[in-house]
Amino acid sequence: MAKGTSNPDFLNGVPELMVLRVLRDESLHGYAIVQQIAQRTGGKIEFGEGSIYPVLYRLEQDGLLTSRKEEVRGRQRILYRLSSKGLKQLESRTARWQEVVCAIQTFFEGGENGFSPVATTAS
Amino acid sequence: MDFHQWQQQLRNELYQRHIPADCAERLMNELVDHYLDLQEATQMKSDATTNNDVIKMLGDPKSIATATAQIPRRSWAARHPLLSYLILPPLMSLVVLALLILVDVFLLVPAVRGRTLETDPWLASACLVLGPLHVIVATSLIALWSCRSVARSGRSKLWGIAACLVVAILGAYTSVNFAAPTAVPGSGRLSLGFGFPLPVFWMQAVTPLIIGGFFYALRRATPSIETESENTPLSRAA
Repeated sequence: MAKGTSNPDFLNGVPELMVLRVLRDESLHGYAIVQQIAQRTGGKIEFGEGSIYPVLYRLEQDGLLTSRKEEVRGRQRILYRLSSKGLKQLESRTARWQEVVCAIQTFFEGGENGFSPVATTAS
Repeated sequence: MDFHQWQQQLRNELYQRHIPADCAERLMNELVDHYLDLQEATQMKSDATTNNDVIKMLGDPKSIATATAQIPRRSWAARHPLLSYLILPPLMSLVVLALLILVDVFLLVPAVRGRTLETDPWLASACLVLGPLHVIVATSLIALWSCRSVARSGRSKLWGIAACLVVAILGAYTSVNFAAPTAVPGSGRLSLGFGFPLPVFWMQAVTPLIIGGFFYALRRATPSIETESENTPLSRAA
């Protein structure tokens, strides 16, 4: 993960979605979650790694995650796990995210009701 | 900046934002673990990453503290809605009713000592109003408290309506009767009981229901945290 950089504002809320997605597969602690996100995005999504904890606390408070203390490699760590409510949220948020991505893609490709940047430049 | 300075800066930022001690402590502990993991990883890779780079990877203490401060605090009531808004309100109504009766014993009874219906006929109508008034005051106070607590907790407004409904039902079934002494001073009575609601007792249920109705109307335009959190990330992303 790159250093000292942050993502544009339109990615607000995306870390939450990624955390939910990463935790769908296994219970992880904060550092491992950040590593998973970095690995799965090829390091394209960047944020201060410490910022993952407020995100985790918020999701936990909303009941989307649960946490428990467990010993990992000799250290007491807090492991986060997706709750059943979190799983439902992940499904609905992923569906909406895909809709948004599709809509934006259509817009830039000049599809239905969109504009074509190429056509505009040409004229 | 070394890690201790970074930690101290974060601690100060958290303190300035009035982050609860338990939350701050948990965050600090997790960040220490995160820092140790990062150090371990860079040592294993044996690349040119310096300690300063590792600290930069953790992020800006101010941003972390700001993000932590933005997490809505959930009160005890918000974390236990069933207990707080369905079980406690009727119990608390009874406690408030008992306190009101206690106030009567210390203030009202001495004020009317020696008076009877013969000497003061207005006592009859005063007693008629006083009983239901006690129930209305007790249930209304608890209905107001429940609605305020729900509003502050960010829980769904339905919890407030449920609390008002439970309190209203209790109000309808509660009977407080004051009987003024007829001829002999000191022979007045106070009776408290529960029973099948007579039409007159239904009046006691109206005030909490009105409070619940107002609460519902006022909160219609304000989404709760529960409903907001369902839409937030993607609508923000969009």
